[in-house]
Amino acid sequence: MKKAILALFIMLLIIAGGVWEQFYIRRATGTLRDMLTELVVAIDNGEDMKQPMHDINDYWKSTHRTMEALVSHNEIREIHVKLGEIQGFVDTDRPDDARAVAITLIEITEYTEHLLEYRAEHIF
Amino acid sequence: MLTVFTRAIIIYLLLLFAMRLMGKRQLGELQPFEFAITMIAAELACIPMAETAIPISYGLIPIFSLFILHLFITKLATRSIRFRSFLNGKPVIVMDKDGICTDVLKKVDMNINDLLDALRGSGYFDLSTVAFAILETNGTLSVLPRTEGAPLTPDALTEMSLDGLHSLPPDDAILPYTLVVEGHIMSENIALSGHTEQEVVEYLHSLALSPRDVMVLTLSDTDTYIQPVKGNAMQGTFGATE
Repeated sequence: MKKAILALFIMLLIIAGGVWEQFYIRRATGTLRDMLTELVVAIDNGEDMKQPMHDINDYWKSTHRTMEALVSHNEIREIHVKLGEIQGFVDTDRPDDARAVAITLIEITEYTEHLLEYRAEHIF
Repeated sequence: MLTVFTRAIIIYLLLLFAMRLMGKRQLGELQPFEFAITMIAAELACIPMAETAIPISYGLIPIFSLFILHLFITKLATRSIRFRSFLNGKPVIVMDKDGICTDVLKKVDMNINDLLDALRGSGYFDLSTVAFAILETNGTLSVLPRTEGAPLTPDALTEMSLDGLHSLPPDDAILPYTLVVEGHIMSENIALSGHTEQEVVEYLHSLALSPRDVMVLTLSDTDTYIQPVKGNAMQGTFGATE
């Protein structure tokens, strides 16, 4: 009986964790995408790039540890690298390059989110 | 997480199915579902250990999923004889007093050499000393020797002393049949024992029992061994009114 209760508890934990994970990843990648879009818009409008970039870095710092526990580290590393590139372009005042990498990163976050969605094609 | 959980269930079920298809010979002493669990769990534990880019939850979640599935299957097997039989298969007699059951051997994908190997492994080098050989659900071979090849027991010694030292007991190796298991009547075994379900029920009634009250009833020639669900085990003679 104790084992059955333990199994039920673990099962509920896994399912609850799985549902939370889905929401967390969707929210984290969605927010990152929105912030990157803001950066792209700022670049297009010739506005200051440093503040949106600073916000993106702050957000990523607060999110990446949890993401690393949920997502394959290779994908996290890729996001890190791309953010580093954008930061470099912002610091050296190369808006076109920063814009191009930001758009690449938007695609990457979209793809990461899609990969981790609970869908039949990802099971098989 | 849900993807990994679902994949673990699917892989386990498919592996279990494959193991059942492969038959008893592929197994050691484990039951098919235990073997499947062991194989997957070992592999699952290795992946996140060796590959640090994979979050540890990718290894832990499937292992816990297997635990849940294993517990569920074990509970179901404990409650349902039919499911247990599906899961583990049934023991089969590969050799009886008339000789080797070649048809059965073919069914379980064994050849004569495999049988001889297994018999030698059980300590029987001479086929003529074997009365019954049963291939168990876990792949091991159980042997009931003919009386002349059987180890000397206190009963046989007493019998010999009464009859005179020169005499040996006659060949009376009898395979006991399990007629009732956990309240369920084993129709197939009753038919093999040469009796009818009606006779078994009547016998139990004569002991003020119904099949539901019986954990296990075995019949060895006319000797019965009954373990009721409640109370102590009893021995008797089949057909005799107690």
